[in-house]
Amino acid sequence: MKRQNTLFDLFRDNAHKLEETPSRQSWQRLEARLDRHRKRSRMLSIRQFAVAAAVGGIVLLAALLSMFTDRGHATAYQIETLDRNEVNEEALEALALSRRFEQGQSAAIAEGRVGQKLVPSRGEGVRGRGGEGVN
Amino acid sequence: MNEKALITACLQEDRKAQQALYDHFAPAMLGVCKRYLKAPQDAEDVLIEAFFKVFTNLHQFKGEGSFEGWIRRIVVNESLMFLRRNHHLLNHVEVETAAGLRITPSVHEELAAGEILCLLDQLPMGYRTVFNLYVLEGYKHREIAELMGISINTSKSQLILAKKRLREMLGSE
Repeated sequence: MKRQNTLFDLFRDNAHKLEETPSRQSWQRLEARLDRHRKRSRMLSIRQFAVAAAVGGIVLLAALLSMFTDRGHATAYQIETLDRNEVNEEALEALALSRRFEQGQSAAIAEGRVGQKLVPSRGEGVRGRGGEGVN
Repeated sequence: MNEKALITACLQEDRKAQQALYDHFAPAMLGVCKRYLKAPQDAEDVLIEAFFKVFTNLHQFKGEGSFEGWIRRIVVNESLMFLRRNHHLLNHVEVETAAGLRITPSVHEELAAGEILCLLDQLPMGYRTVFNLYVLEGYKHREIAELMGISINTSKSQLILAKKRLREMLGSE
């Protein structure tokens, strides 16, 4: 054990003698390597920024295109005032009923007994309470 | 500039601070590389690669242990990677003849740098690596086995053979 420790200690105690200042070129080589790495990192950052900007641009362009397309549809479907002759009273009543139903203003409609059918009531329009306007 | 300030400056890629840190630690680390690698040019190449990793991974140093110890681990790992890349570690079981080399230290406790390198150079690469990791770096056999990709028993036997060979060369048997 003593002999083993002596051998190990011989190396441990003298290992520091291997210390040596590296050649001057070694720092220059390392510096050049670090410079290349820095440039590459910057290029990578610029590339990432460019990709992000490109994606942002595409999204913006898509949004603008979508807006203009919607505007085109609005122009194609302008609202005009109906002539009196064109008015279909039953259709208007059905439309009003469905709008109320959609807005949650309309209560359930009693559909009547067997042998009866549901039609819009004539002359009185559609009333707020379900079943009241139904004959 | 103290060590902490130097590290902070290096994190900001201050070249002068990086050079100061390199100048401070490089001599000791070149000594480490020389213990693992035979060719001086290889040792310097590995040193540069290791310090490149030190500077580019400096943010990983949490300041919890010794900074020199952290650098040394990188240098040792880089040396082992070099040996592995060049297939030197594959020959760890080879037995080379020492060609009758005998070194007798003038005083038994004194070895010159040249004598240390001469002795290490006579060891097969596997013996030399295990000896360095165990005796001079203080690694356990389990850690050496993991680092070198060998079994714990191989690590132990390599150390025994290294000691035997060194004793023969030192003429102490």
